[in-house]
Amino acid sequence: MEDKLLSYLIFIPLIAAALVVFLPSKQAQFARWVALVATSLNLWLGAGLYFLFQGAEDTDGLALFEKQAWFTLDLGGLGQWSADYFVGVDGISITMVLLSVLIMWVGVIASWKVQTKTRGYFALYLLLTSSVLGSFLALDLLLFYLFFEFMLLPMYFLIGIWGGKRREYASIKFFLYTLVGSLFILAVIIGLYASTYHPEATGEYVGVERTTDDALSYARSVQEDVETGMIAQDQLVRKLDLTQLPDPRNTLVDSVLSITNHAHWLGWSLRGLAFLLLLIGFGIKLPMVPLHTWLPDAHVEASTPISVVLAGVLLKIGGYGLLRIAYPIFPDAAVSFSTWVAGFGVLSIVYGAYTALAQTDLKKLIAYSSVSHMGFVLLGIAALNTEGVSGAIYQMFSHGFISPLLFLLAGVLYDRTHNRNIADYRGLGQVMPKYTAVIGVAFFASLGLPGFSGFIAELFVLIGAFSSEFVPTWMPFVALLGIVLGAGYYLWTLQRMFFGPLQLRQSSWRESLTDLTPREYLLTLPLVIAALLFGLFPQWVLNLTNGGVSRLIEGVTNNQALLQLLENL
Amino acid sequence: MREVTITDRLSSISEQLPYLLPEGLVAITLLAVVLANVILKGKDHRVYGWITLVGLLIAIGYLCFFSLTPPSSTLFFGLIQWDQHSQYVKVIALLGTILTTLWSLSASNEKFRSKGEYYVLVLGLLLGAMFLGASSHLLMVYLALETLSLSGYLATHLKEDKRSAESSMKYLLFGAVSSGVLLYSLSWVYGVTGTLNPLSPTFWSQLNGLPLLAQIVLGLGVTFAIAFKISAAPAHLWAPDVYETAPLPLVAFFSVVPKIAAATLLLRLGLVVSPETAPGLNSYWGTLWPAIIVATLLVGNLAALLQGKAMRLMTYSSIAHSGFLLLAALAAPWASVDAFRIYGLVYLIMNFAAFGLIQQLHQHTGTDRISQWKGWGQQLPYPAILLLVVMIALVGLPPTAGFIAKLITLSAVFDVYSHTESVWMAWAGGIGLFSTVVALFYYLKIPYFLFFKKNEIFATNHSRISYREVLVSVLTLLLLIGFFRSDLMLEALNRLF
Repeated sequence: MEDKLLSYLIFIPLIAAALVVFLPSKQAQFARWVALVATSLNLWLGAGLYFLFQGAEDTDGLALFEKQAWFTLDLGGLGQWSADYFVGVDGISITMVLLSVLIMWVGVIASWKVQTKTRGYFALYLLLTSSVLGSFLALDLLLFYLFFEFMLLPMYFLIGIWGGKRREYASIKFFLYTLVGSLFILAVIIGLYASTYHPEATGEYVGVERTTDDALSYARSVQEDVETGMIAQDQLVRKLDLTQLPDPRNTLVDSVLSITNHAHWLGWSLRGLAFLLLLIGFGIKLPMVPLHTWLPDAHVEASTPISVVLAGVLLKIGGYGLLRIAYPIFPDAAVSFSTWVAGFGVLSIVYGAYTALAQTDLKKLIAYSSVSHMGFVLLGIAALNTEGVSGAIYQMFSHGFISPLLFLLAGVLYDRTHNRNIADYRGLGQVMPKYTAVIGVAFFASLGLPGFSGFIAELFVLIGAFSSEFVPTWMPFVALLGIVLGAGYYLWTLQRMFFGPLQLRQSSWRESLTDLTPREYLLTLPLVIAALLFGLFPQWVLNLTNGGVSRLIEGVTNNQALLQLLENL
Repeated sequence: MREVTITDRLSSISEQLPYLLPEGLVAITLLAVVLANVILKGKDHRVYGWITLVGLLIAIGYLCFFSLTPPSSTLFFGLIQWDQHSQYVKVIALLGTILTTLWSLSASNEKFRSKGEYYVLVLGLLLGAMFLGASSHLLMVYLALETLSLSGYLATHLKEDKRSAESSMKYLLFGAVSSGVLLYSLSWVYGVTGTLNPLSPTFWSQLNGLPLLAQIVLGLGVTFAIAFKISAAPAHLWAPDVYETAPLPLVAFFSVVPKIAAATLLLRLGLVVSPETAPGLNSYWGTLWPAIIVATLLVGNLAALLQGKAMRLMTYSSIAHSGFLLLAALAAPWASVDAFRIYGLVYLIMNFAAFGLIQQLHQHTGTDRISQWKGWGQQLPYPAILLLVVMIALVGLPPTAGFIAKLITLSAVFDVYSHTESVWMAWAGGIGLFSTVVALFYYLKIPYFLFFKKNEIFATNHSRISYREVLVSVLTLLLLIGFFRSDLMLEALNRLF
């Protein structure tokens, strides 16, 4: 059970998707039950993972992993190309995995009322679930890319078929933006295949004798053989193992992405360029201003559960990708670009908040507030210290509860009147007091009120940014402005829509405006409670992430120093 | 040195003949179809198709399992080469022709499928492609190209209507110009060097004596001939019309087999136009071809954006894929020939699957205008989903073999760039990568109308499951298997040669 747990997480939804496809059309209504069972199983496995992880926290690196050979291609002059089915979980990914299983479960319940083409809907939804979990768990870059790309197609259909009026425009925009981003990532993958090798696999392929059981010293001996030319270029096994790629010794000295390669392109060093490509690729996903324009469209047109999944989980893959791929592999470039990354983070925070102020559509307002909150993730990552990176992860985790909550609540209103225009409502508190209370709490949680998880996250990010040597001090100050603006648009919206005497654009809406139903309570209350609990007990999350974060920062710092040494040789 | 007598030559030819047995079997099949036609007094009959199929199966079986390896890779005094490239082209061409034949046989209510001359022309095309892939001797190249072209001109006019007459005439005029130019430059090459074999040492020593400009002009003749066959820009203009009017199975053939053969010729020439042999011409070769590839990628992808009909979309898509095929062939001499081989094989599978599915939808809906296919995804879920997978493969996204093919090709290009620092190559690779975005836009148009749009009125004419449906299912499945076990695909290719 334990050793295959991660695979179960990925494959249970996949198998469920296949089941849904083959349901006879008369039994189509069972599709939602299949989806519920599958995501509930995942939720249960996620809980198991949480306890297993706590027990295995101290082992270095991966608490849990599975590794199986996937394929090896002998490509002559290009060497041996290899990829593994390598999944694992550590401090960087554990929170994201737990978040995903929960949000995907919430999403199924939120989708309960989907009536058209039910089988297609739930099959795509389960495929999405599987690929989201795959992305967070994959530790082979090619495998990661497979899952990363495979998220696009289900999402494209989920927005494009079950979305709102301009769904076609929004879905193709989403697809094209994200595809451009993933092509940038693909360009880096090609560069990495050409420039790096996997020491352990190479050693096994060539037949270097193992003198010790220690994997590290074995890798060192292979690296020495490669450096001295004992192992020829065409005997190298190229495998994009994310646990090995950060080691600068695994990059070939005369290769394109070598630190000693001083070739430039438009004034960028090639390593810097590769980092930039990754930053753009994951930045589109995150989204980072100015690459964010697909997000409001996608959110507005997507149905509520899809918005929930998009905001709750999918955006996080951007930040996760930076932490898992861009920063560890290109620490030198990451350090030299960190001011820019932080700058883009601050820009996202302020621009997102400003734009949110001007929105007339409730869902668009929430979408821009997401842009603003994701800016904190960039700022925290750029700080490159324990506080900053922990804060960034915490922000992803916390936003993963709060933004689905907000989208669910916006959906509640939309279900009743099919209208989300802020100016069309006034005094909703009169007719929907409980709804008003919940949305008020959600707004406060989102604007970062102390006591809620968002506060902890933003606090950590700001502490990290202030104490970081890579972020100019004025930047966190400007970010503070973003928090003030956030309070502004939320409170203003609360005042405009919910307070005062009741006024509706169409009086016929009056009857349909009923208060929260039990199903809606079931959806929203757990998320409210989570936002509160993780705001009061941050150590629950920090205990999970601490080990991973400090290893990440240690690795980045060490490898950056090593790269500097290699460059000056 | 002993003088080579006629008897020596004859005995050497007869010794080497067994190595051409696959080609011989194809030629025998061709004659058998002609003979059957004579016996049946020219009447239409399905037996021609069956004869073709049996002949082709014997040929490919022989090629894969019993093929003899000659002592030297050069046969018939340098005219024919027997190596991994020639074997590859033969297998691909035979596979393509078998698929074409299977498909033709199942094409209901089409006149051409029981015509003897149709199969004769298909076999003629095949023979041309097999020889084209097996030689870099320029005389042999010319002969093979003519075999291909002549069969092609006739085959495009099989429908015997006005539009196919127009397109076949267009094709003929283009072809005549290209072969005229080729012949003219060949006569100059022969006059200067005294040989037409680029592998012979005198060829380059004499050619390098010429002024560079003259070398380039001569090289352009060959370049244009390859570009014409593979429908690379700017020699692609004939393709859209021909593709629209020729019988559909033949279009699928046209879009794959001659292209791979011509790209193999580029690969062979790339092997001999090295910095050592041709110091002057080499750098131009390394500029001209990437430029052609960039133009082809741009023309193919951008023009495909504007197409409203599925067949025309596929035409321009196959022009865009020619760009990739050429890219893989150009990179092969430096980096890895496997990229080219995998790309060719995957392209064959993708294209046949796409054409087959498009024809199926065409039959059901009665039109190949994509906007008229709206809502049919509900009505015909199975072919529509298969088509989605194939389109994803054509874009080059995971989890399909199209992704692996593109990834390896681009890596090979990247490798060439990192060794030669050729800016042109980098541009060609970069544009290849980002043309994917454009490609996504137009390929997704088809699933977009199938699944996103609604349509209430359906002229349902469900037909029973034909074995063509089985065929496209198998091809689509191969695309998925080719992704998850790309090692098996490569192993299969390697085992053959």
